[in-house]
Amino acid sequence: MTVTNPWALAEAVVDLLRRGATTNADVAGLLLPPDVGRADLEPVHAGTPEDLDALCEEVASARLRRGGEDLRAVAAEARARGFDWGVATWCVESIEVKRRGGLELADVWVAARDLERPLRLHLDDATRTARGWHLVFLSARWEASRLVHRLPAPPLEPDPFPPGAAPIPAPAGEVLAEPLVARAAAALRDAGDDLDAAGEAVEEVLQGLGALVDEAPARAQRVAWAIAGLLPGALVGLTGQLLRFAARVGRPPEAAAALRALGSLALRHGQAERARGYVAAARHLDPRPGDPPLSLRAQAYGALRAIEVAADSLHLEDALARQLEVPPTWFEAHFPPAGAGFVAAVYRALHAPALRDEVLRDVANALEGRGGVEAATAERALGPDDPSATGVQRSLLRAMSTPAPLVNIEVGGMHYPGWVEVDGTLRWLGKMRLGLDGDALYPLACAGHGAGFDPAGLEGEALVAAWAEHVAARAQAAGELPS
Amino acid sequence: MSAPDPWALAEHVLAVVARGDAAGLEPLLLSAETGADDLAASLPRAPEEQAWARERLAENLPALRDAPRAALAGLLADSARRGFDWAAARAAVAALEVEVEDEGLRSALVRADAAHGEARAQLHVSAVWTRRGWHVMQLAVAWA
Repeated sequence: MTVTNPWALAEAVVDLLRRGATTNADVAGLLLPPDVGRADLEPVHAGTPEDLDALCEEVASARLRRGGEDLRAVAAEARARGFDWGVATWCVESIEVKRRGGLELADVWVAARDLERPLRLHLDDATRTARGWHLVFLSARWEASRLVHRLPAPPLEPDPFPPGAAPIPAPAGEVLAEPLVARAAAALRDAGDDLDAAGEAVEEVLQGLGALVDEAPARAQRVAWAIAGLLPGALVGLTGQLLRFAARVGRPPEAAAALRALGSLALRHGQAERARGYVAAARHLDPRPGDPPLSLRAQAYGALRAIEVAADSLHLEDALARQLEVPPTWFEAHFPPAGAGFVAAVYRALHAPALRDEVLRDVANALEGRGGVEAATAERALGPDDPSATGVQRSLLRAMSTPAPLVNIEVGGMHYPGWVEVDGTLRWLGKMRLGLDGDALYPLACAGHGAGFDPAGLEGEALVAAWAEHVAARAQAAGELPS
Repeated sequence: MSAPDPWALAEHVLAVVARGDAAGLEPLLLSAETGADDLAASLPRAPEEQAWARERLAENLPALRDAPRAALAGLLADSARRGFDWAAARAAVAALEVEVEDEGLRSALVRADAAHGEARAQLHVSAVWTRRGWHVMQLAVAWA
């Protein structure tokens, strides 16, 4: 394999990373060949004979063939951070040629981004011989370059709303006789091609809709949806406003339909990230088995958008609270049998009850006052040594038999830790604090000390207290916990 | 003919300059068939922006094709006047920087250094990416 220039070398390296191809055989064609020597250096050398002698010695060094190890390390770190090469966009950013000892070397920077994070790859000391350009050192920096924000947003994969689709149905039947719908239809007819006039007329109708929400929310939802179906595409801002209205005042399936329609609108206007958030929010209110997986960021946006939409509706808040609970199967799948029951009991007794009254409203307030969904960030704590894990999260991660990341969300400086990914949506596990000493009980319970506990009809906090005592006593007896 | 990457494109341009072959530049220029879709297809944007890019390209395409031709003619004449022999010079690509403009065009500025005896020159090639490959958008020379 001959790589003719440093740009092509960068493309070949990215191609390997995208394909997950990092074996010695995959990488070998890019490295300095083991038998490279004077005959390969002399034709491209522009230094003194002494320089050439020194270079011949240097290229024999194994140190210059560690590019394969570097590539594997970069691939492993990208995997650990959840970087998704499948949707990533990238671009060579700069190349600078330098000469050392009469030989041409190049520094190559590559900018990349997936849905969640930027990445810069650095090919350092890429080396030219008569056989082409070779990879010598490779490293990754998890930082944005000047180019990264101008790279195209990754496509939705698969795209649930192909551009041109019309998911907002035109109103029909008795809803057309609703006074507000009839008024909007007449105003739009009168305005003709004058979009400003049409916009003003619909704004007036929207004020009437606001009053209807308190009297008859379900009717207001049907009216909002119907008016959205009447609007021309050029009034997309108002369509979005109406659909958000429809989502807030509807029941779960209707709210989900409005959110999916908003996703379609956002996608048609090139806002792929926002579109994913709406689609993900719809999943919380009206889950459809077999939906394609979404990135962590889209899941977080989806959960937050769903909370934002549900904040004004008891129907939606009930449905969302159920959908944000962690199912028992998650505990069974990620903790060993001896401890799964104990961890699930702590969740059910101490944390799940706070979900609706404390968490949902708290997050909704934060969204309203601190920059909204777009200001939120989400980060995965991957293991007990991950610096983004809190103390109790380290304890939980250490206790797991099948590791599952714990997700921490921040909204405008407010931290909401302890979400988990279940079926492509985030669920709220909570902080899971048992107190300073209690947090250490998770690994002990999962190491076997949680087994043999008889609940004897206990429930709630009493059950957790008795089970925790059981774990502590067994661990103390085994000398694994100071008495 | 276009080039698969701007580095290869700059090497083609160096070869054209070394041969003094103005006609050799033609296949490297944006062709009359190039459309806005070729330029902006990699960067999905709002329909209004696509329309704007298309209009801008329609207005600028003739100038984008003519500018490198004129620059090459000037460069060859200047080189002859100064006695700089590109065919005998040692010339190689030295640096490359990529830019993505707001309207979605992806371009690269490539610098090649050339030395002939005591004389030094820098050839700057501005390249633009399309779905069909990389094309020359502008040429310039700086004498040291």
